[in-house]
Amino acid sequence: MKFELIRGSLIIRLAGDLDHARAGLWRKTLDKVLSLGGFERVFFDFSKTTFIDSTGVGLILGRYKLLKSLNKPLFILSPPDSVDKVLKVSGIYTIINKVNEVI
Amino acid sequence: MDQITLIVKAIPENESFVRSTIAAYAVRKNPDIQIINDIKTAVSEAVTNSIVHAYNDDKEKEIHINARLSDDSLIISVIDFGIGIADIEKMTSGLFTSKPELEHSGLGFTIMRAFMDELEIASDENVGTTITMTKRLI
Repeated sequence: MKFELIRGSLIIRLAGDLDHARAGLWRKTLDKVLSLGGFERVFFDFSKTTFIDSTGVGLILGRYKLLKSLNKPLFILSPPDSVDKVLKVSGIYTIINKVNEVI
Repeated sequence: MDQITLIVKAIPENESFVRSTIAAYAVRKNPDIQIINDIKTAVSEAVTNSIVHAYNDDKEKEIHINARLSDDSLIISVIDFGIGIADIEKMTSGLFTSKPELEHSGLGFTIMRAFMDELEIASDENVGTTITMTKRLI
């Protein structure tokens, strides 16, 4: 996982397989970083994500709720087709916007 | 019909092993990459269900995965011998999860159904669950 803070945008790159085996480990790291604050909006960068399953969707939804309680928007950045399809079927785009560049 | 069977322990690390192995098996029919991705996703959901729900993370338990290739399709069965599903209809309706505290999205069956051409669930309480999925490859 790679973090970058550019003009208030916290970009978190979730590279590799975001499955059940990894979600638990990443959840802890993400919550630690998000609790530090210092950002205005968050981007989950999926450009290097090779796989996602429903546990990964649960991870995103959980962080979305956390950020919503802090009034910080979350964006989904550049998912490849295979990831995009899972996110679409999950209905996640009805609550979280997809973007192709950091805004 | 040609077939392979995998028997794995119910540990999360086996999720990626099983989905990659089944995908490699399906490649024999030379399907589109999108079809391979769909298979990987659905298989992973089924195996995760067995680990988390059927076996409640008991790492000593076993999951059997059988994959068969017909002329135009891949048929996969994911079999566990866990607690079973009491109410299949409820469990497979979108967004229902028995473990909300673990942030499970309840989308496993929704995803399996959306990504495969056929999905069949056979389950008996305290006997186990068999999920059989079919995907057309050509």
